[in-house]
Amino acid sequence: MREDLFLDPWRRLLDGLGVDPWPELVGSGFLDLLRPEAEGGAGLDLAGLFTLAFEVGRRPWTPRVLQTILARLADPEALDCPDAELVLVAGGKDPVVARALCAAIDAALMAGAIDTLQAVTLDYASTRRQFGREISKFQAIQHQIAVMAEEVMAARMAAEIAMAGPPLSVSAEAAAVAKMRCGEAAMVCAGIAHAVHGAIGVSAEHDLHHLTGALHRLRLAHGGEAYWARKLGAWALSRSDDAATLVRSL
Amino acid sequence: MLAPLVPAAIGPEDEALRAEVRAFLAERLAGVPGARRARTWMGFDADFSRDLAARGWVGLTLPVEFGGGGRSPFARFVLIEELLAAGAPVAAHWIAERQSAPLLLRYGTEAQRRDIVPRICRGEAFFCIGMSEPNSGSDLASVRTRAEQTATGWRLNGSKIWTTYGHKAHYMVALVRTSGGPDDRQAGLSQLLIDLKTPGVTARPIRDLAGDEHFSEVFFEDVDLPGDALIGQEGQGWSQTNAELAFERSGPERLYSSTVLIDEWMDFIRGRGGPTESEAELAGRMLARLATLRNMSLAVTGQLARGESPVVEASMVKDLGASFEQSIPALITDHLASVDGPVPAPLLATLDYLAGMSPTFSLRGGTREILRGIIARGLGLR
Repeated sequence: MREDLFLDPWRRLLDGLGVDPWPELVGSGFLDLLRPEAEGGAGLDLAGLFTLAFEVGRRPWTPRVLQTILARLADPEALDCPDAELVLVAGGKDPVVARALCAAIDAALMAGAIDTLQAVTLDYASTRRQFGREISKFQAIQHQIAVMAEEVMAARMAAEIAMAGPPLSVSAEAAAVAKMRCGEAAMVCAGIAHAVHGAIGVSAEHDLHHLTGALHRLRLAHGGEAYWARKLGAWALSRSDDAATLVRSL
Repeated sequence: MLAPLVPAAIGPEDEALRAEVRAFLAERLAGVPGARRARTWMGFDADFSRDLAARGWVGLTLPVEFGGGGRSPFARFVLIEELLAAGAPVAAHWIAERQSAPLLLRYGTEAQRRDIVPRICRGEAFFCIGMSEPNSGSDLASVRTRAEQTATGWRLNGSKIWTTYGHKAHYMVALVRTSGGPDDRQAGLSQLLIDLKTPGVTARPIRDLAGDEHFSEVFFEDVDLPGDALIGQEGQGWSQTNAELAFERSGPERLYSSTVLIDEWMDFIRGRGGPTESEAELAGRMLARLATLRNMSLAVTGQLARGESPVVEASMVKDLGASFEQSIPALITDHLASVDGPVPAPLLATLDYLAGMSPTFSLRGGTREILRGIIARGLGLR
């Protein structure tokens, strides 16, 4: 599969980026992943982009590569783009379509950030000792981390499904499910991660705030849970189908 | 860290079953009130189960030579998704079809497989599962019901409680002690197949808070069982039971218990004209959760179809699914309490039933705490 071909070089690129990453990123060709092959791009579809976006989400200190990849659909010279939605709309893309696409990418980034959040929380709980044993041995901690694992699974599933439709677009309803579910998971997981880490988790030196901070910013971007819930609910209530039929058509 | 779930899709051949099932249910359930349909897999109707069986819809995935349909797990997903979403009364055959027939095919004697499994597929043999006892709930390893080996088989004494439809089933698969004592924990437990017509067995229904008699207490007094009543290996009952629970925990019955209420509520909102922002928001939040849970449940079905044993993943989907199902009555109550004007009585009756019974959603098939313990073990924390 194409995304598997890209995955290892992509991880190596992300992990090796220096203080001036953009020339390296341009040289790698990855910024043109979604652009047509005829125009020098890789012609990748969103389903293929999902795992790559997830990997970026897992490294929230990465430069804004995903926004730039999306922006290049409208502006081939885009670089270090802060918000692809604006570039896509300026380039003539329907605002609803542009927002749904950006929201789905946000969801994939959140799913990745939550995945790392779980890994660092598991690691911390298994090494930190209190009351004479690792705190991961306490049932109260175990159950919180189990909830986190459920949210990690749910967030990834919602984000991945949203990007598995047409090659380069996401329906507003599919984006709504993904952004909403990942936003909910982000809140739950950020809360549990901080609770497990205790005071060290809010120190500037500790990496945790890079992850939870990224999650808070992504929740704010391109419509939050209430925004998308209203879109999805208005769509559902404008039809006469039952709930099971509605969710199957998402 | 667990491997992520792999999204799975239902193929066109299996999806084709849906229209047929929907048409049958639309006719068969016409006029049945929502509060009745909200019972779904707690609703017992032997005639309904036999009608499903006549269409080949009981034992859909079981081998053809034993009376099953020989279809894929995804075909069964389509079938039971429609049954549950519509609120069909499927309790009579549910446990026999989902757990007991696969168990007998795996561990039963040839005679049991040839005799009982085809009757399950015809909707003629109903099963219950005997696990909890008066002093043994989530801590199943502490069961005291005991079978002693005799010259001809086993002699059983003890009792089971909270057994779903134990007073209506033909057979019970019970987890009992066959060797050792309570200090041996899981060692010495076995699964026994009990024909509930055997002398010495008495079953007494227990009324639930909704007025239904869906569970019961079953007593065993010097019940003599044949040697082949032992299912699988003596002393292996615990691991056999846990393998079986993966089937019980992974299916869509953990997502759709409150959909009858969602559907009635959405119809009420639609009938009032354009939804308010808060109404659209509530509908959207419920559907986003349901859509994601369904995709997770499908992914676990994919694991089962590949022959994997997704014990941890099934526990995750059940825990999330039960929390979702439980949240619905409270969310809808909150909305209806803010509405000006009358709320239809049938909608309130459905709400009343689910508000009362929804606490059971995180008890049946393994409590929330047991499931989170399984997940924690899967993460390497225990």
